[in-house]
Amino acid sequence: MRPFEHLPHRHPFVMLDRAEVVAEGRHAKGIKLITANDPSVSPDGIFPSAYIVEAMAQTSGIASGKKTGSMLAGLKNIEFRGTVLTGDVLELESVLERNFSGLYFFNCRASVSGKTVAEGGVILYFDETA
Amino acid sequence: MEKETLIEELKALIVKSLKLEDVLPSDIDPDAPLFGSGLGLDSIDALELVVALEKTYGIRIPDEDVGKEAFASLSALAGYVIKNKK
Repeated sequence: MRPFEHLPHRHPFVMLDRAEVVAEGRHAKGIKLITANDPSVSPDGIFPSAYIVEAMAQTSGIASGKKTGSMLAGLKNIEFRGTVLTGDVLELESVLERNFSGLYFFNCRASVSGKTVAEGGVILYFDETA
Repeated sequence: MEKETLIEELKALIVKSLKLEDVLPSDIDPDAPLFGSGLGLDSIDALELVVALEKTYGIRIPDEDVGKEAFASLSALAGYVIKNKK
């Protein structure tokens, strides 16, 4: 799946190169290739933690299965366990835990070569009255 | 479980799961509203509380209407948990 066809985000803020729906409406995976040309990568070759979280949120947007845009409403117990560098393939996974009153809570994990670099909860808001 | 014991448990659960830094469990009035004018929780807190309650007590808060009843106060929440606990 080409992520930008399923997300409102556009270059340079599409934080996924490819995505896959594992279970419609609740589980998705994505990858991002970290390259030195990427404007989100710092001059010393580090992919900033804030963008890892954004990639987790975008993966969650795809997991939701919703075509409408959403807002990143909150983060819960996000932990960073490693540094993401140029040349890495960042793998994202998001699973819906619960939705309530337009807010969706996803458990997310970001990893490189099987090693967790970040994990935690992402809360997205969808305007379900629209 | 007695309601009074459960209310004390729920106070600790709310403070811990919502990371209420300026609130002690003993500060929470069992009869005051949890949202808005009472404890001042918001909609994101509601979602986090739903997740914590469902994990801890195996109850289900299916929608906003049921949530409004269950979250009317700590005392109402304890009643809901006792009635629906698995």
